[in-house]
Amino acid sequence: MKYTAQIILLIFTLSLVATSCSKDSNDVQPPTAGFTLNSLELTQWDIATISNSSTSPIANSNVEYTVSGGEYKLDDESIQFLEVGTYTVTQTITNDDGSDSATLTVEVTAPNNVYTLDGSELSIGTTDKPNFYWYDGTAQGGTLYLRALGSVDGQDNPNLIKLMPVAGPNPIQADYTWSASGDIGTYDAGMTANYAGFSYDWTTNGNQGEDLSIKLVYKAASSADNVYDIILSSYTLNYGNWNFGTGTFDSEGTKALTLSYRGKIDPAN
Amino acid sequence: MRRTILYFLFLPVLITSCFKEIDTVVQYKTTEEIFTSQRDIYKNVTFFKIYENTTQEVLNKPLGGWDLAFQSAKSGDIVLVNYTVSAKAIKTGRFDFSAVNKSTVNELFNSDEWKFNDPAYSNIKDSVALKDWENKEVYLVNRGSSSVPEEAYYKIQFISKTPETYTFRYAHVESTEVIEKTINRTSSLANVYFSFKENEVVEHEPNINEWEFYFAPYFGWFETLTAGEYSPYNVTGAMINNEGGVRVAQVFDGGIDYKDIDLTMAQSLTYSDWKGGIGSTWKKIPSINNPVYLMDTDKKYVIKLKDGNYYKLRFLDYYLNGKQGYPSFEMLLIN
Repeated sequence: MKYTAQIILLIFTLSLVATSCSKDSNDVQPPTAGFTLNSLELTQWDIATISNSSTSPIANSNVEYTVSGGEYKLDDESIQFLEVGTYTVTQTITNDDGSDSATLTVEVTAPNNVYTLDGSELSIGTTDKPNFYWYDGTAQGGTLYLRALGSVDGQDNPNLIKLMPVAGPNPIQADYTWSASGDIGTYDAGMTANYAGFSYDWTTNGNQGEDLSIKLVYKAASSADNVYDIILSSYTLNYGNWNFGTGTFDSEGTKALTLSYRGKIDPAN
Repeated sequence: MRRTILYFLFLPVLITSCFKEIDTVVQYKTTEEIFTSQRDIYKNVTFFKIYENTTQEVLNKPLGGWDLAFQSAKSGDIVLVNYTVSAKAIKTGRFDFSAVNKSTVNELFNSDEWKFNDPAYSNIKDSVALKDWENKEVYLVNRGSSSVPEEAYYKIQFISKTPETYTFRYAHVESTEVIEKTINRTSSLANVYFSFKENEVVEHEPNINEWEFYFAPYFGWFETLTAGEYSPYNVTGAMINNEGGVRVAQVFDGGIDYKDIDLTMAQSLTYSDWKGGIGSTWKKIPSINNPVYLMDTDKKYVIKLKDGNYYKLRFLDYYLNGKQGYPSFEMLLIN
């Protein structure tokens, strides 16, 4: 009997302690998820900045982001979208009283890689050569430089665009000023229409332009997979044909070239 | 039960033992007298061996896999930079390794003193880019068109050589990590190849007795339209294994027909160990009005092998299914 009373007292005490520790339902303070991205319509390899607007009335909350829909690169404040498609970004915030989540849908489209020739917009890339690529220009007395091909409707062969930024021993990403001097930090450009090696409609012999910008937008494990923005805001091409008999260039006039490209630069070989 | 366990123990051993074998088995391209290369000559270095009734591909390598080639089996101490990717080297005028850095590249970037290696003349020491390496001057090497700019420039300084070894140090021009390497010569390879990127010796060519010539692109001296005037140019062609005893005679007389080259004529020819004896000029320079590579039918070659056999060679075509860069040639044992 004595033990029975003691057990009852113990259970009563424990229940008092237990109920004193539990919260009243009015005291539960779960978090509220919330975030925005600076844009929901992005271009492949764009970086979206995350603005976190989630709240937690109590301390010790934890915010996590999950991304699905393709390859991506995530850090605390931004997400870089590495593929074309529809991505879902989910924020989950958790605290001691619960969790909440919020979701955004992001549409990622392919870069619009184009050049304009006298104002007409044309696409960069062919089936075999979709990207800019390094070209060994030493045979022409130059150095390693960048080339791109562009298919043209109704034309047998693609157009060839040549960008010759002089990086020296530096990374290719830089701003280059126009000059035919070949000094480090300068660039020159050229173009050949309907290019089939030794035959073409017309080619160029220099002239001048505004700055060429090459920016690294995605650094990959291998430099061959790096992604760059290449912007040529304006270049005036002196076009015509070489006269192989006299060794002179017969100019036929000028054409205005601009270029906007985002993508890889493929190796020379 | 024990047998079953043993079976399962040995089965993986048997299977994995096959892997190495499969990796190293040469994929022969069998032919009769006429051989069409299945490799794009602009993107590959392809080694061939001549047999009495056929020519076979024995090894193929992509470009840019090596930076320095050290003469190995035969006497001599020629060191080459990678001619298949237009690599170049320049003397810096400095002997203090630490004094050469990125500023030196900027200073020498536009210099006319950068030298390349034409493999056709690689057995002539005076013509190679690193010909004076033994004086311990620091050289800059531009690794050529397979390297992006920031990875292209290395500095090298040779330290010593023995009859069996070469020792040198190298570093990227922006790196403070100086690496010292000793290359061991071997009698089984004409050259031992080294890669800065891999920091080690890399495989590039077959055993010296297992090939007679290779096809490759290379940066070399090309005779311009003005006879006797040469200009550096990217070309494609064939180099003989002169180190392995291959010799070649050119039969460029248009009055001599390929079919008329017989043993008597072959035995009367003068043979050369010139590595570029076959070279690149078996195809004509395309004209602007007809931009197609045509074969120069005047150019025939007789190859003399170490076993005493003579073979006559002529090139037939430079296209495979319309794609440029796939040479077809005829190789016949002269009986």
